[in-house]
Amino acid sequence: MKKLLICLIVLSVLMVGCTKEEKLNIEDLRLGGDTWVKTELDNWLDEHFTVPYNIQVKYKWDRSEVNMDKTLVPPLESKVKPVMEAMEHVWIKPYVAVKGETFMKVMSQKQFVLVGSPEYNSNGTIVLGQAEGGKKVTLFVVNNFEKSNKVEVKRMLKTMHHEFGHILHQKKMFTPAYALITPDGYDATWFNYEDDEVLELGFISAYARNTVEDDFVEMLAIMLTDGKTAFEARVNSAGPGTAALRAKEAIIRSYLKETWDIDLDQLQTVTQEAINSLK
Amino acid sequence: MKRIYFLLLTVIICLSGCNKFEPTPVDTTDKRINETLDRYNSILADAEFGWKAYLLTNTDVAVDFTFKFDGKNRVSMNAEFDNQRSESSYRVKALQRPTLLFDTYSTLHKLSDPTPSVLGGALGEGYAADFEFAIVSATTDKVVLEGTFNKSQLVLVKAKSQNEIDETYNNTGTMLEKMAKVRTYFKRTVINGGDYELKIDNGNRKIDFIQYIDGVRKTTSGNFFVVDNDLNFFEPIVLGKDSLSSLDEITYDAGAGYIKCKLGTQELKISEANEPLFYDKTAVSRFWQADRQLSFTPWVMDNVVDYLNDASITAGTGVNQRIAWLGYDEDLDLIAYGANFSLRYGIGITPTIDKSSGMLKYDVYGILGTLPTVYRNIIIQTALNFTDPKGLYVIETGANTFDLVTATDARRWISLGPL
Repeated sequence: MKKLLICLIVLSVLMVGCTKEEKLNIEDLRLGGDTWVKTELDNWLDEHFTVPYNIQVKYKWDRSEVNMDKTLVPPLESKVKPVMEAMEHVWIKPYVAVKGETFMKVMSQKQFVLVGSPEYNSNGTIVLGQAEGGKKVTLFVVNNFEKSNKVEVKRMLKTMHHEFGHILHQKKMFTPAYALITPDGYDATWFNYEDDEVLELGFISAYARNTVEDDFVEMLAIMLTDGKTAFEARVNSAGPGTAALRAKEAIIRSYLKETWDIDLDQLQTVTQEAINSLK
Repeated sequence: MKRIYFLLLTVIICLSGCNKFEPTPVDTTDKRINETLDRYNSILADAEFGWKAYLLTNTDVAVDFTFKFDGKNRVSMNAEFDNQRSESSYRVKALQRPTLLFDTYSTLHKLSDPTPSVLGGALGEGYAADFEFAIVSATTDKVVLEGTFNKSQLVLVKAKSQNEIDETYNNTGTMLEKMAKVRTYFKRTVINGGDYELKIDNGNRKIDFIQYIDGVRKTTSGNFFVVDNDLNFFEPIVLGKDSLSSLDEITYDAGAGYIKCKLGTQELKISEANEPLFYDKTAVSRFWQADRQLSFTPWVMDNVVDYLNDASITAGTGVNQRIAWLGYDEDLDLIAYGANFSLRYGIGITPTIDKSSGMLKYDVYGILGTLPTVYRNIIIQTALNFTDPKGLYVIETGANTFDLVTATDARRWISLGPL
């Protein structure tokens, strides 16, 4: 018995002796994402997007953020600030003016990914923007952005309002009645038509025919970026399509009001003022 | 018995002496990765004058650059197609392999830009170049990289002076001029006692080494870049037992009319030849078939591509096809210009095929349609080049592609292929 006890003691002493504390060195893992020597641009983006809205603006190349099969290029550094200034001025600020900062802090996606070129599809179309589950918005063709080129500025802003429209309806869907207004007009080969050709079918743009959701956000984006006057003129020129466009407009108006307590007219006016004052 | 014990003891000692324990690495994988990245970072940044850089895209476009890395994620660069230095950012990052990323747009990205209006290339693809490169090997003098997306190749060679950086593109230009001085289509050299015919494509910076083994043409090709007076292959060229990674100290001997260079310790001569090393007399039968339409590229003379400025005919005139219509009519071939498969004008030439010698001869027959006055001389000379008194060699360069070479001096040639 004694022997057994001694054996046990020796064994336990030995085992204790074997305990070795390994320190986990997490520094080597370089967690916390990519690091680089920060530039003035990085600081500006932090100050205007990351700190106030918790939005990361990813402009440095990371293939895992984009379509792996496509040839794409990163943006020119010199274009990043102008594009993001426009985003802040014409997308964030109008919503903040109408709904307050908290709304944008909650609703905005958490990441911008900027791409220099468009993404070319095999059917001859190009991708200008993408929204993924309210988390990420990818903006393409950043390298062509010129603040003085109003057409290009509006195109980029329309892309953003289009993608943010997706985020809104991805959080809370609009009424299924919307899909019943022009149920036969949706067509995956939308790119074979010009914008003006589809008006009489009750669509605001050719791309609106892609899906019901795209129809919804195209309407919203065009109402906001073109402004009330231009939108009215466009709808009134739609001939047989006018009624459908009016019905869609009414649903969007009530969706914004009832779901998000946003007054469409007010948002439209504020956005137009922002576009016109963009320098 | 004692002996046996003694022997056993010796064997045991010997065996135990052989026992070698490799210590397991003390550091973690992450630590070693970080050390490697830091080492690559300092190799790049420590080049005081920067790097001469040679890119070969996956579509075989070779372009020279110069880079200067500052160690703080900033790189300045220019390229032979854009001499203006510009600054952008880079990172050395552990992806599947240690990788050098040019992570914001720069001159280098223009080759990858999918929009053709930027620098050409295919829509949606550019030149199949890269701006994200895995580091294959790195020393303080040379870094070899491979594109992660398109597998383009990039070689960085450390510059020893500012002058070297400034002369990067001139060196390439001078070398290409030198290589063009061997005027004939057939260029010959001897490597380790074996005869080779060379085809030097300055446009794509590519050399074909052509061997004839039992009359069968075997072509081995390699794309090159130029460092000083040396011509380096992106990948070594294997010719039998020989492996060529570079041709060094290239000079042109004007008196003797040949290029001299070194292949290891061997001295090579690349000289002019009026005739092929081996002539496949049957090629003419595969080339000339009645009522066959081929396209042709403009004549080359003394390595000068389109020396007649034939390109002016297709520039903005609506004419977009050069058609060689063999057997257009009985005893009549046509060298013609067309627009969308409709003939505009051309010159008829009558062929004579000598199957025993494999030579093709032509006489001018007459003009088809009305030749525009401004292009008249170009078109007439294009047709006249077919009428070499000694005829034309027909060289089969690939499936349905042929070169015709003037037999008198082999200094003019034309390429034909599917329309």
